[in-house]
Amino acid sequence: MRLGLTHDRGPGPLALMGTVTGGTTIVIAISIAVLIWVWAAGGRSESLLVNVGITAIMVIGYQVFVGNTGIVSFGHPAFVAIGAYVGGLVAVPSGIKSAILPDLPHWLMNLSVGFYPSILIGGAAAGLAALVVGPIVMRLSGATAGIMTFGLLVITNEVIRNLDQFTRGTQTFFGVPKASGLLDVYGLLCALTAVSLAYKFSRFGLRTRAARDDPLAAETSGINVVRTRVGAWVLSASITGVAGVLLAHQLTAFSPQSFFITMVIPVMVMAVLGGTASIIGGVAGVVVISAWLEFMRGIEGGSLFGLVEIPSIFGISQLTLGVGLILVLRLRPRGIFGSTEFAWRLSGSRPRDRDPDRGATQGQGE
Amino acid sequence: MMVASLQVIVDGLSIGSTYALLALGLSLVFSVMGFVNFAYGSLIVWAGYAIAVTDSVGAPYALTILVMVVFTVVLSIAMGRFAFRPFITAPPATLLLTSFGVALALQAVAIFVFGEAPRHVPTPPVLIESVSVGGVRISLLQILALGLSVIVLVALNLLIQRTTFGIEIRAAAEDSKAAQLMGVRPPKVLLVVFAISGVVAAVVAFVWFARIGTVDPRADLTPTLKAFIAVVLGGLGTIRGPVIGGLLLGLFESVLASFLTTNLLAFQSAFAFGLVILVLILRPQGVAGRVVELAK
Repeated sequence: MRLGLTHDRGPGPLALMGTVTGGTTIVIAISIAVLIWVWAAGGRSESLLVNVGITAIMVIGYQVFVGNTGIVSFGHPAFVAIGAYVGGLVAVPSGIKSAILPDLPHWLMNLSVGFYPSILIGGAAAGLAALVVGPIVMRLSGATAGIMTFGLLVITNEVIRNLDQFTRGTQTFFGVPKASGLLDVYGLLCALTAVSLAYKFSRFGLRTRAARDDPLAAETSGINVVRTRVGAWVLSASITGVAGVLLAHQLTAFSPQSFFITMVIPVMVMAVLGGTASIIGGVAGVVVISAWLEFMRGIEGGSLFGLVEIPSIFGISQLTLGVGLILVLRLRPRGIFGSTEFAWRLSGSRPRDRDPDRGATQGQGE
Repeated sequence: MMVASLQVIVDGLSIGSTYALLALGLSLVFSVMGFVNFAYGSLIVWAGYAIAVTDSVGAPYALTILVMVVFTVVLSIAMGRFAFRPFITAPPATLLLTSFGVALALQAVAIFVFGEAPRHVPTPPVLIESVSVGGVRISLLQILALGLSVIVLVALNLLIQRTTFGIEIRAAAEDSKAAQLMGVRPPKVLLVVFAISGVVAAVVAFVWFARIGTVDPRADLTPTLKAFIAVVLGGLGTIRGPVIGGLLLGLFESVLASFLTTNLLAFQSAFAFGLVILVLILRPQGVAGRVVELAK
């Protein structure tokens, strides 16, 4: 058995297992490294690394839709918001709830569930929202669908800002117990990596990717293009919703403007840098960009590694992200990993050289 | 009642004509390059800063507008030349992401140079004073907005239908490979299209900031949003589509503003997108759009 890069899985359930466990192994290794680091450093930078883990889940959720369908989404913060608000609402202890949201319906007021149930509920709520709008949005052409995902974000944001009874409107929503531990976040990250790998290489994922590369040929082969897109959309939204609940349990207090277009910027850049067609690429993007943003935060805060005092430069990390996005698209349009994933292979079996994801989002030309 | 509904129509048409122009500027680039330019709103914001900065050195209003127009067209051409031309053969999704990157970069530079605080964009009071015509309040700016939109539309139509540039643009939009074989150079077409789209953006910016009065680095969201809604509503790929979409959006907003109570008005964008969704259920290609393949 050895771990290598692959474009596609071989036939049979064993090959599927190999591909799913391959990428997951890498993510588990990274997670263990993070845990050891935090343990060795005595809890220092734990909060930062929890945030990074949550961002990684967002990127994986983003990749499931954008990577497999080739449609660019600007709307994913909507699902983070739905996850955070729904998951947060059911997790706030009843005592605090009656103080901050006095107009709640009775059954909701008395409802207060634990950490993992709230994650399930928040993720399911985001998935359900995606299922409702999916069939309408996903039958549009790619460019229009991209715009409508943005519209979805605007609608969600406006609804949250004005649904005072449930969300406190524009005021800060607080009272969610701080429960997103390092182990929970990275455990979920590993599990969701496996889920998205399993989806990508399942027959459903294959159909979606086929519909992305050549909708006409896919449709001729009996694939329902809209249905494949809706499938990826709903799975993607649920994963992103889970990230939202985790974020709620990490921030404990948040407001609607936390979940707007600025939230999708780093997620998008991470996915594109690593290669939108690759899950492990997304994780690589998270590692690189998180490190970069942390470095930039030092600069914006006015100090370089806490050594040199320089005047605070505002907006410069956004500038680097914008320019970086353009440069990556120009120099390496398919990202670091293209569409490759890690896979376990029996020693001796030859990897497949064929690249089925040639036409993925960032592929040049036809 | 009669006067009230007339007022709603006048307000709706004047704001709608601005939206129509916004959507048109977006749609022009789309028809040739096949992507929706996210950075279009940034163009408007920078036009606003151009007015504010020229005014702050004491230039008369007419001069500030002139400087703004020149600056916006140059910025638009530069955008096309440096950000989008290198991607001329790339798929639409790459271009869409690129335009998002451009929007981010332009916004970051605006924050860096001008700070987060809004800046005053001057307007001669005569433009915004309302006069009453048979009970209907109307300002010079509203008439100007309508008039300018009509002029731009007519000029654009002539340009696209009658000139060599127009024929080249239409050819490139119809079939870029065949157009190339007939001697149409894509890079040239691209620059012409970005220049025209820059002129349209300048006209929009003039009306927009005369109405709003301030500009801040994050002000690109609203124009981008309005243009997106209008474009999807009307349908991409034609001249008619965005114009109809823009006017519809303007009328719809104006009707909402007059009939809804204040707490429902907070949902204005949600209602507008709701309308879009309704239209799209019935007609996925928009009110007047061309049917395109799912892949595009």
